[in-house]
Amino acid sequence: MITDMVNLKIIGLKSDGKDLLEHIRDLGVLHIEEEKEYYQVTEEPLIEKMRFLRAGVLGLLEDLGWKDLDNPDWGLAESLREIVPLNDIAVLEEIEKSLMEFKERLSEMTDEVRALEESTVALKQVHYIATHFHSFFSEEKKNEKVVSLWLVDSSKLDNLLKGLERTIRSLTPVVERPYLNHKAISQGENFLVLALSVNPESSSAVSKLMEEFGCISYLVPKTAMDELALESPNASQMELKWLPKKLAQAKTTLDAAKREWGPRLAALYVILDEELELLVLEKKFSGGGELFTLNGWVPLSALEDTVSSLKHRFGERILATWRAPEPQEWPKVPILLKNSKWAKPFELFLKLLPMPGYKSIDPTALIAIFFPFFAGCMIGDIGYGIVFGLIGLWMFKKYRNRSAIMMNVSQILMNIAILSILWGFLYGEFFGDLGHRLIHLKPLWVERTEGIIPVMAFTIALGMAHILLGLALGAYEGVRHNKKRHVYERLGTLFTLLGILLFIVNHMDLVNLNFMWAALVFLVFGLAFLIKGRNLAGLIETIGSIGNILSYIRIAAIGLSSAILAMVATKFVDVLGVSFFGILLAFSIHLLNLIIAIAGSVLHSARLHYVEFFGKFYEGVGNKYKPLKRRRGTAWKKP
Amino acid sequence: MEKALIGLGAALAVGIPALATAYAQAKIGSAGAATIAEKPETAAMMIILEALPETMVILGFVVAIMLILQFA
Repeated sequence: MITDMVNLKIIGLKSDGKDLLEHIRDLGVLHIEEEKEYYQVTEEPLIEKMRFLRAGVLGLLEDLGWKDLDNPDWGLAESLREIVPLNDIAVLEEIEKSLMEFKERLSEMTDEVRALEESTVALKQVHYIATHFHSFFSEEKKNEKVVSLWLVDSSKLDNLLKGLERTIRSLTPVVERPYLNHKAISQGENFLVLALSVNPESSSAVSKLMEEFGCISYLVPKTAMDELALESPNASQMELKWLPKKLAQAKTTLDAAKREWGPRLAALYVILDEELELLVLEKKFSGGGELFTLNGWVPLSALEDTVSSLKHRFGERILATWRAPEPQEWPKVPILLKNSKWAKPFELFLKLLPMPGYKSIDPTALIAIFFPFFAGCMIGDIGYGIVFGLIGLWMFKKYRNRSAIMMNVSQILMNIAILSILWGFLYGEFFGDLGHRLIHLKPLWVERTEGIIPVMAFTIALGMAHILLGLALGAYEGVRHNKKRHVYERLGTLFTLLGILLFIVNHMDLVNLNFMWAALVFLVFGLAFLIKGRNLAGLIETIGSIGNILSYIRIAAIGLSSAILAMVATKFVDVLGVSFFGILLAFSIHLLNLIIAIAGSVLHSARLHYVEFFGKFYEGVGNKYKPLKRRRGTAWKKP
Repeated sequence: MEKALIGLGAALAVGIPALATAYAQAKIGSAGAATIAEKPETAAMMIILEALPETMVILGFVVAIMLILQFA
């Protein structure tokens, strides 16, 4: 449900403005309403400096690579808040200076790590070349030959060598013997590093020819080891031993800085952010004159505590007035959802949409009922349900008091698991037909792979009920918000669908009663309402609703595919016997089916809600309730 | 022969909409991913748009089931 809100107006002395805002921030319940005229805030040097510093701290956190943003050093934040006057520009300049020094030190550390990483890669390259060409280089240099390295396209090597032989033969005097020696090693998939050894007099002609063939002179990476490595691979091997150690040491130093300074910088960011927010608000609301006026919304349940706390702190120096919102104010009232413990995790689905409007229906409880029901109906397997339940339990324990979203996900998963197990009993499935084979598990209702028609009929009936409920809620919303056209349109569609339903029931003799007259009455009223609401467009709406109802067949279709895949998994044991390979294949397919089952069922259940159900009544026109509060709760600094 | 044709008809009833859905979802998916990167608040709308073409396959599935149950 949507919490009732109260408009609270506080008028105080300008001199109390900062204290008042701080007190309200500590209470953490007032959603401040910012009127358009307040947006023009004088850009003061202090505000600008604070913004600049906040951005700088965030940049430093990025440079540090510190990701644990939920865990700043709260103790430090508390001490900084008490001892550092952040509203003094000189103090901010001092902090900025320290941060710049830290940034320089950090740059040195990261540069060192980067340089060592690059050197390691380069040295590995040198060592690779040196190990392969060392003997070739030594031998050829001993014979006073000129050795050069080239990067060559592997496919051109044969033609290249033939061309070189021809060139060298033409350059060598007849009395002398032509000389060409070479050695090649692969470099990647399509290239070779080619070492060529020739007489000094043919060296330049060979270089020219190599370039004509599109070969590139291979430069050994520029490290201090170049020459030494080619002369002795042992030297580069020695270098390779100590370089990783040095790199590890540099990385350890950087990690230590990250662990030490990350939480501190995050704490500084938090208090800068809080102070900046307060400073901006103070400037916005002080305006002219001697008074300070604040207008906002508080939940009705928190009103009494808020007002008494304000009176206790400021006494007669403030005037607080409150009133319920007028209907014309509803669009701007902030929305706070309040649901029972069992439905609360399902508020997650509304976080993906704009909030519902004030005084409209919060569909969370309905999602909590229908979502696991649909997903369970699709999965419908006791074994899979148990697996999902165990995963949900594990997530619940792992993320308890750590991540609200993951806690919600785990609870949703457990709900789906329970419904999957219940549907599993109805379909008689335990890891497909394994339950039937092992313990002769029988379906309480129908075996999906054999009787698809009853399941399809059931899902259409389910869709009909869901859509009719949506239409009824839509009509109720129309009445509540005084939108007559909506009421006629929703009621028209609802009556028409009911008329069609009764007509089908009558035609198929499903019950021993004659519904023909009732069907006709519903159809006549339905069509009349539709025409009154939107003329012919109303009829299209009804056809769309019939399409929406048919869309629920997906529950049967996805369930059937999941059941068949589970049976296929077990069939592998039939074909390959109770062997390691057979069990491994069966296990792999069940694992794949588990993933498909949970992803498919969640996605399609969500779609049925978002598209088919919400389309009938939900209007995302609300603003989220965002009270002014400290970044971490309020309990630790209440007066 | 008749059964084979019914089987082929059922396969086409699912297969052709499946290809059309895949094509539509590929287009919507890439555009949706880009939109969510720019505006994360549109995530739910993108899921809805991504899921819309699936109706074709569902209806194809119904036709296929009907073909098999009625004629095979």
